[in-house]
Amino acid sequence: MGVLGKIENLIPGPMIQRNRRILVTLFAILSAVFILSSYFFPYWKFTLIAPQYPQGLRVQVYLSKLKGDVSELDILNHYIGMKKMEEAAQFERKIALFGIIVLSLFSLFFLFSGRKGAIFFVLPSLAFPLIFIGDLFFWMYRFGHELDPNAPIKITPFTPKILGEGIVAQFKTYATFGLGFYLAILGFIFVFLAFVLRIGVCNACPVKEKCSVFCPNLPKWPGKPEEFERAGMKEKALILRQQKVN
Amino acid sequence: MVKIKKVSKVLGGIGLFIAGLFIGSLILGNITAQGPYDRALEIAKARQLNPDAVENALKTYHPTGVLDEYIMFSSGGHSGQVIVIGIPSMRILKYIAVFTPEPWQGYGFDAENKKVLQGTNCDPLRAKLTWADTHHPAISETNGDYDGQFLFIGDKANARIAVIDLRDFETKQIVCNPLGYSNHGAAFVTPNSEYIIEPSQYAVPQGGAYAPLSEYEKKYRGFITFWYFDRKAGRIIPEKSFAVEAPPYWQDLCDAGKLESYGFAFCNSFNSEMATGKPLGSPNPLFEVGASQNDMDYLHIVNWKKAEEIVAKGGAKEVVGIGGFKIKVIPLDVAAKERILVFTPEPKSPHGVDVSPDGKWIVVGGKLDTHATVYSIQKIKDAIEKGKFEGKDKFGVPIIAFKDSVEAQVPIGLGPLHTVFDNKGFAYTSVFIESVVAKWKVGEWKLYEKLPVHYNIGHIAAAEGDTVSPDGKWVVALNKWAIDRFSPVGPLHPQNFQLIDISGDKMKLVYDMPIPLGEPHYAQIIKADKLKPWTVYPEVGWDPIKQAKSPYATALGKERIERKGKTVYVYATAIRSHFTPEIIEVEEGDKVVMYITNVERARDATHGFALGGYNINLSIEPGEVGFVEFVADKPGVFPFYCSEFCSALHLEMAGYLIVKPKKK
Repeated sequence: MGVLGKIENLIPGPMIQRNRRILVTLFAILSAVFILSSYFFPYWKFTLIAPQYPQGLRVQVYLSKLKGDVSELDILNHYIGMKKMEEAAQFERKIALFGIIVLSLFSLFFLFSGRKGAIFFVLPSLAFPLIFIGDLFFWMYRFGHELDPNAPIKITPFTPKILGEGIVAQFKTYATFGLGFYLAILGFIFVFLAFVLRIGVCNACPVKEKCSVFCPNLPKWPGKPEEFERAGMKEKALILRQQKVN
Repeated sequence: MVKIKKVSKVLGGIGLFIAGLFIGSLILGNITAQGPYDRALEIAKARQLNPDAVENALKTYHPTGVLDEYIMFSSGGHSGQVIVIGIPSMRILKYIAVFTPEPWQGYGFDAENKKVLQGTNCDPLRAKLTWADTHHPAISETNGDYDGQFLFIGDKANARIAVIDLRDFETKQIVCNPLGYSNHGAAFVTPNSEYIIEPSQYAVPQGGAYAPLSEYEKKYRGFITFWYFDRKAGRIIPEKSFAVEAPPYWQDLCDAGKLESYGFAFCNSFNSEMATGKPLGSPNPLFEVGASQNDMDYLHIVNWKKAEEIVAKGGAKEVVGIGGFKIKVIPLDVAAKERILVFTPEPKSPHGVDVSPDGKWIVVGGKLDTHATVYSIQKIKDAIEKGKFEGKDKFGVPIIAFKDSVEAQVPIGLGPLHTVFDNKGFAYTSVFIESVVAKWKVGEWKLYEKLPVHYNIGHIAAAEGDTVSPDGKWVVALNKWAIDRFSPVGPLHPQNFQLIDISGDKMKLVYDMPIPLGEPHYAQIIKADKLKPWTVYPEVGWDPIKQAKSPYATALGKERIERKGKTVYVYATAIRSHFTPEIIEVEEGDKVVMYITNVERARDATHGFALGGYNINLSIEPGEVGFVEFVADKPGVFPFYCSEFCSALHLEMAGYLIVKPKKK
């Protein structure tokens, strides 16, 4: 018995769609791992290039914190009356860890979900990166527009670019998504793949209403008709009953 | 088969012919075409630079942003500072303020480093000093090699030693020798920086007492001090230090033994005649004559390992010295009896004593001699072990006969002073009177070459040239006189540092660098990558004296002014481009204590704090807490401002100290 066989033993239920069910389970677990680990990597990165910063000023935005040359950028920003970066997305950053745990648990819950509920465990991981972008844009907009009117340097309100090259005064900026963001996307892709693959598993499962990746145990043929009834296989139960009568 | 061979031969021939044509055209092309270096050649011709000069220029030129391979720490002479120079570009990188107040660095203005300047154990006279004659820098060592952690330097004029932390290139401690007022051979470190060696120069009655010159022999004494260095604390601990009492000869330079000579220190001396000078109208000879009568003076051989044991056993007496500060001293008779101090003759009026990288040879330069005199540590050890002495001096110190300690006398020229080494077994000795660098081979004891330098070379430094593993490559001649080498700038001339390339068979003089700041003595050259200096202080709120976070660190938004009786405490921050608070109101006669935290994290974002009228200027580097203390005894309105050009709104980084007059 190979490794696959061993894994298969861990999965209760019949031998229907063996490889596919293993894949679905693996993908869902990977999805959870990707989503959870994304917390530990920056979602968004920002580099400001100016002559007096030969290495550039770099800020990494994590779900829950800011890292890099934050204080230096704050100093530069204060001249145009911009708020301190730490003031941005405070609520979002506070709930980030909780949210990410829930999101990764969703990828696992999906395995146990029924045919109809499954999509509700998949959609949040699609929505999440979009929400992140939306929220980032929101804060960028606010920071670029809610400038202190008494600042030493007055500039027209603007929204800093969230992707690619931008220019603020004489400074060039360059923004990209970070590894964390891509991990979150991967998390969605994997749970989505698992979702699609599972449709086949569900279709093959005799107990259609109860479809999860672990579709319920099938009774052995020929066995007691009650067992087949409990498994929702009424036709088979009927055949057995008829045989008994005969 | 035969056919194929023939064909291949023909083809090969054609191939060679084509290749020849190709190479030929390349060479011709290079000669005739307008190459990228043609313009450079034109400039060289226009400036009448010969190929040698062009080569030299190329060796030292560093395009912008290219850093030096070596860093030289040079004494700043009477400036009381240390000069940091990049090698081979010879660019000045920094003056480290050591014994002299220095406004740019805020040294001597910040309340904390004012205390450093006053010294750990200095008597009231020396606590007030504002200058020094810095002589010999010594980089801290591990196993006889530079480790780049600390730098020590001696003040000849006042018998002081300073400790500089090479994490921030700032002076952390000054100690005063309680036994006398002058040293010369300081500072030199033992191979693991266990001790910093400081010998006295001009003997005085021990401990700064008074005694007439008629009692010179009886009461005047020299000393060789071993300052204990606590590397973890980064401080000299006077309580754990000791001195070996020496006869009132004038001790000169020292060097610590290493490897085979580990545990020993060697110090020169002159005036073994014990001349006491010529009072006006007296027939006595002047010092320069009286102290040059004997053909031989004494090389002091000090077994500091043994001395350490004797001190541990309680064999030292505690001397209450200048200013009431105590130091353990091993008395002369004990030092002689225990063979802690042993002499061997050396050519008269010697200057430098330098131990070879392997520790086997001790090279002495006699200022009035024509030789580098080389002693063997093996012979010295043998003589001490067998008790083979030719006699004793007046004070009972055993003397090893010259023939029993000397290995060779290398004829190198008149007036040899100091010797450094390279990685190929060569020694380079500065020869003062002849104004040359003499290159000679250790072991062969043979002179190879002399290179004229300009002029009156004093010390000489080589890349890691006084460690157990010299690097070769570069030698710097530290010339006392420049005469005609630079544009005249009045009667006081700069000194001349000359860079010499020693990587080839012949020494090549490469570059002249004027030193316009005191007369430097020794310098040491360390591989730049051994230094790991901070570019900003490790944490915001740093106390550079304690090298730890300061309890007075103030965070942004936590600035405050507190009054306790007649003292006003200001907890301030500095950031581009403002101080908080920037308006400070006190009353006439209040004592003002300010802690200013530079909360910046950017490299080079230093803020100054200049307060008009009160003689205050701080340099508050990124992360540092600056500390001022003064009595606001002049009523009025005093502007203060950031004295470092920190930002576009630098001029706006200002404030007012308002001193309200007392109500009558």
